[in-house]
Amino acid sequence: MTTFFSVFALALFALMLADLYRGVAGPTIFDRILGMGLIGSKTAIVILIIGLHYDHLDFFVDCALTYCLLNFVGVLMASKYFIHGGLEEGN
Amino acid sequence: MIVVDVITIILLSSGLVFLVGATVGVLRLPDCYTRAHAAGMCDSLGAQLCFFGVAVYALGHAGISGASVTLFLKVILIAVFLLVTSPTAGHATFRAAHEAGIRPWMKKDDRAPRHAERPGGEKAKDSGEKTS
Repeated sequence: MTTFFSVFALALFALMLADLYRGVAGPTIFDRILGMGLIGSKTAIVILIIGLHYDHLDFFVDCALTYCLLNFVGVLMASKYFIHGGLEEGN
Repeated sequence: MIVVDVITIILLSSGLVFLVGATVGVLRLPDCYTRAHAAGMCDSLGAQLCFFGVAVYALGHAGISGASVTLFLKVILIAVFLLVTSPTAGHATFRAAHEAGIRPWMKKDDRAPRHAERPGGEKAKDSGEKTS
């Protein structure tokens, strides 16, 4: 099973590289936010897979939960921030 | 144990299929609203399947005890949390894109890169201006 978990984590890393392309080259800022959000949600899965691989899931599951929380708050704040293309003048 | 391994492999592999679908959609679709469609649904379902696979493996290999059931419930908690927050974050992002004035992709849109860059692009641009 450890072999399967390693291959699965490597496949997720390949998908994260593909999402990183959208994060770097997205035509609008919202495409970049989308790419980074996808990388964040895949990172939580990879953390859990690493926990299974090392047979200490109890250490890693809290890290994954924190990562999900921070990813959600980050995406939400970035999209609120970029509604007007950045900070409005006078605020 | 073999049954738990098979269920885990099936869940993780089907989750990976949906994650690949989300990534292909994000890479190939033309504008940010269609990319939101691909990412919002496929990424949610793929992550759910992966988390359920991890939860089944953790419960099945540790045996039924207080610690393993707590671990199982924590992983399920992450899955439910992601099920709520992933579509919410996508909706908030592209609602912000709509408020920022980004227009959806249209076939005769002269700002779309494929029409602007193709060899007969100037002609297409003229006809687009006549119709609009």
